[in-house]
Amino acid sequence: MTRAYQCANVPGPHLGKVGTPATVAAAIKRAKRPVLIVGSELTHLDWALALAEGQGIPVVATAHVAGVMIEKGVNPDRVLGVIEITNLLKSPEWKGIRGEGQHDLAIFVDVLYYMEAQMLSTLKHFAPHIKTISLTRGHQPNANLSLPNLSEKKMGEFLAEVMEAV
Amino acid sequence: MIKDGRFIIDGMENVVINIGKITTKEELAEEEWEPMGPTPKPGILSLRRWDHRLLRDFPPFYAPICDMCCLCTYGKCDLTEGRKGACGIGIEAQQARMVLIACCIGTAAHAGHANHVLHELIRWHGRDHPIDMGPYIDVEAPIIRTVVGTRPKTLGDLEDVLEYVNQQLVHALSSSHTGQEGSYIDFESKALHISMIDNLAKEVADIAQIAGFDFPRGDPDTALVDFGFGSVDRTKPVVLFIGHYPAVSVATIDYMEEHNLSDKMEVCGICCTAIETSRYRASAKVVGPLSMQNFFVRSGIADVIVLDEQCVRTDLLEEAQKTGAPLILTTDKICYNLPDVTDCDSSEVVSDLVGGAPGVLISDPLKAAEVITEVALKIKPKRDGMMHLPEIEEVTELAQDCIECEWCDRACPNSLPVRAAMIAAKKGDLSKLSNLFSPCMSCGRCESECKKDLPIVSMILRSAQEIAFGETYTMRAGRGPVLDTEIREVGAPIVLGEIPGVVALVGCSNFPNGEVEVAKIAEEFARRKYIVVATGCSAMAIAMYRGEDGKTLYEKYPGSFSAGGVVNIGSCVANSHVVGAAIKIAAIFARLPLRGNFEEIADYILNKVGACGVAWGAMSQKAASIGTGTNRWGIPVIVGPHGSKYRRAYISNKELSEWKIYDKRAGEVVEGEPAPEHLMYPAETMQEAMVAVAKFCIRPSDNARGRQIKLSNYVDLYKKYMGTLPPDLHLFVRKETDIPITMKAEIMEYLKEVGWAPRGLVTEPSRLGLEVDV
Repeated sequence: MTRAYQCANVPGPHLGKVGTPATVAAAIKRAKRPVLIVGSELTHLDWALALAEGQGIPVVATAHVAGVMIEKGVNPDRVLGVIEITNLLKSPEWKGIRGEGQHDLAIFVDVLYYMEAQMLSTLKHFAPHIKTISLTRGHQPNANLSLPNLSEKKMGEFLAEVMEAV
Repeated sequence: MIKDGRFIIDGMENVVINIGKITTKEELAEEEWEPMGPTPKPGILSLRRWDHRLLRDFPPFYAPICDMCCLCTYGKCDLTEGRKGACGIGIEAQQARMVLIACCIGTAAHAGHANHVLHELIRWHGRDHPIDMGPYIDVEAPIIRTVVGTRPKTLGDLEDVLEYVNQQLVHALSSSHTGQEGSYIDFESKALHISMIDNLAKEVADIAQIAGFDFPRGDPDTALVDFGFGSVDRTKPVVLFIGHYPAVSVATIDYMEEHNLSDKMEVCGICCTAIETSRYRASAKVVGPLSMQNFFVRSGIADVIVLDEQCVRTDLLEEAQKTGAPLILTTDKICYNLPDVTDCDSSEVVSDLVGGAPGVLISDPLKAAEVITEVALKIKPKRDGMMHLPEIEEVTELAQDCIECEWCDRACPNSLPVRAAMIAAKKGDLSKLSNLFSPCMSCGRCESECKKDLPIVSMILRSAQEIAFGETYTMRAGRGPVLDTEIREVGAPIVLGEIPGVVALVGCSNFPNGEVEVAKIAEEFARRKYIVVATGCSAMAIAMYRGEDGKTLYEKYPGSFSAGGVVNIGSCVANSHVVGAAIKIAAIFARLPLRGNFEEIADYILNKVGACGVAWGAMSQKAASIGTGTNRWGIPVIVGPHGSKYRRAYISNKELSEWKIYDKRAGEVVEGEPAPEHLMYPAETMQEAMVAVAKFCIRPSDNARGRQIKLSNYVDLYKKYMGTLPPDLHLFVRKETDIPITMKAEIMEYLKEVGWAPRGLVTEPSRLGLEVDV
């Protein structure tokens, strides 16, 4: 069994799956209203923005990521604290970033690992209407689907394969 | 003076006269002071309606860190996907229950401190020792006045307050037993209640300390204390105090002074005991916050290590033994299976410790003081010449054993790049190990995980020796309460918004990126003319930073509670004075009665006092109760990203909420604004926290000029870090006159785009007129 990246992050009896590029890509393609939540680690921001642009996925910039995005010439769809977007995602009545209805998939990229683990826990427990994918470095057992524990180089390769497969 | 309602007249011994109640002169004076308000000594139910009102605007947000309940033998119970535990509890109530337990633990720790210090001081000075807060403080105990309804005049009066504290702790903690409360909202109400009681315990502790140890009574110009590893004179015997309870360090300083040893010995401290000790004598050195504990003990600088209570590493006996420094424990909270020698002959205890005994427990501070001093004097020559850290060459040699498995990175709470530093160290490059010194909390989880048992913390410290041992700083000694005279100056500008806010940097040192971020937050808001106050580890973190001009913030900014001040209030228990300052604004500026009048005071603070707490490194259960108690008084708190592990935040949902507020003057419910927007908010980065601070200081009571100043800071910080105007700006603009003049054109254009329309000002904003169903 794959251990969580931060090894004591063991939430309980029901753990998410470790994804492959193919399963991650399939889950993204399957989603009707995905949302991409981009956090402060800023290690794969360019990849995340390319995914969003290619797939037409709205981007939520957490923390101070919006400033970095704007420097790159990209405006996020929304700027919210990671806890604020998580709070909105757990409300079934929320109409989503584009007002088209609540999202059915939340993709987390580069949110601080341990904080992201907490947000994924919230969605696991209180948002049965939404699936989650974590593409932040390392395994996140609270996500429905997350990365295996990879070196930086292999993680880059993994993400490149996801991009190709979507 | 007869103090009860029963007496016997001489010659009539068989006749007992019972009178319903005899009122003493003291009680008459109390009655004349202020009429008693509606909720003196509130129980769990007394302020429940207030809690439910708060929780309606700021509902709990749960992020379970564990999906199970393991508290009884029915369990483990799986609480996922709507499952209930065997007792019937659901996941939300279980989270709230754990929060309540954490808040009870935190409150018990502060109440334990208060009990210890009060009883020791009564032993030293007697129950009748007066509480004298100096010529500039009349409202000597704002929390006690508001919650309990009394004005303490002597140390003995504080015992009565603690009796109430202890009683409330019993009831709150008992609610968390299996088969008691089942509603998460009411668990939260109990957590808020006991955390308010935590405020009370802290106030008792610090008032007792001020009265009994003669700590500063709100002096804005307290001494600048030497700070940092490098400030400790290693040529002298060094005594290190770690913890929070200062009776032993105070007694030790007294003993040294009585024996003309002060110049011959070094007294230093880590964590709040360090702050307290420097409040007593500015000659005491402050090593740093609790994150420095493992580093400093490993350095071997201390000849004797003294522990009292709270936030002390539980393996310090083992660590101290490695350096040959005896460990002296001084309270019942930490015993480490060591012998209690309180009643033994001091000279024999000294002889045993100098002869190699690893440590002892001495629960009498006066006796401990003698033993500590004598042991330090005698053991110093024996320890001179001992090596405690690996030499530089040894660091490189040790690194060769690293198998680059990466478990160190994965064990690190902040996922610091330890592996990469080890790989560099193998090649003789120690710069990456050195760079870890600042963000590392010296928790040692990397070492616990290391397959090769490498002493990673020691390797980091040795690699960073020039920074660690070379740099010294200054910290202004903790001043204690805010003066009534200061409140008279700043009360109106705070309520009207012309001083844009009070930023309180509090709590532990579990920082995501080291101490420097706290200092940067302090500097940002001091420059912007907010009032910056700090306590505990955060007050120490602020000291560990020099600006471009080479000055520490305590050297650069005044210590007064005024716009642009950077004020070290004191230790964890001095947090009570931060809440106390907000209460005093209600009492002194608005002339609201305090006595037994919690709800009206908290409502005033929530709607009119633009204050915001920042617990950037919140770690402990005490930080949980400090933050939650602050929330009950209506003050929002921002925690660092690790704070998300507390399992619960109080988050509004501004896209789904209607912001209603009661205008007391108009007598009607009107449209409000998200001010403050959240009550307990974990931020991911320092930059996000800074923007949130500026926003969370906005209050409905701001006048147009005040709102302009606050919006100017909010917009400026938002643009600095997010690159645009804030997307929720329109929510905070009531009329055109609220718009900062220099930003008017840009903001008006934005307001036009979003279809903004002006709305009326709320003249007397309140939550008390809003209906609540309990």
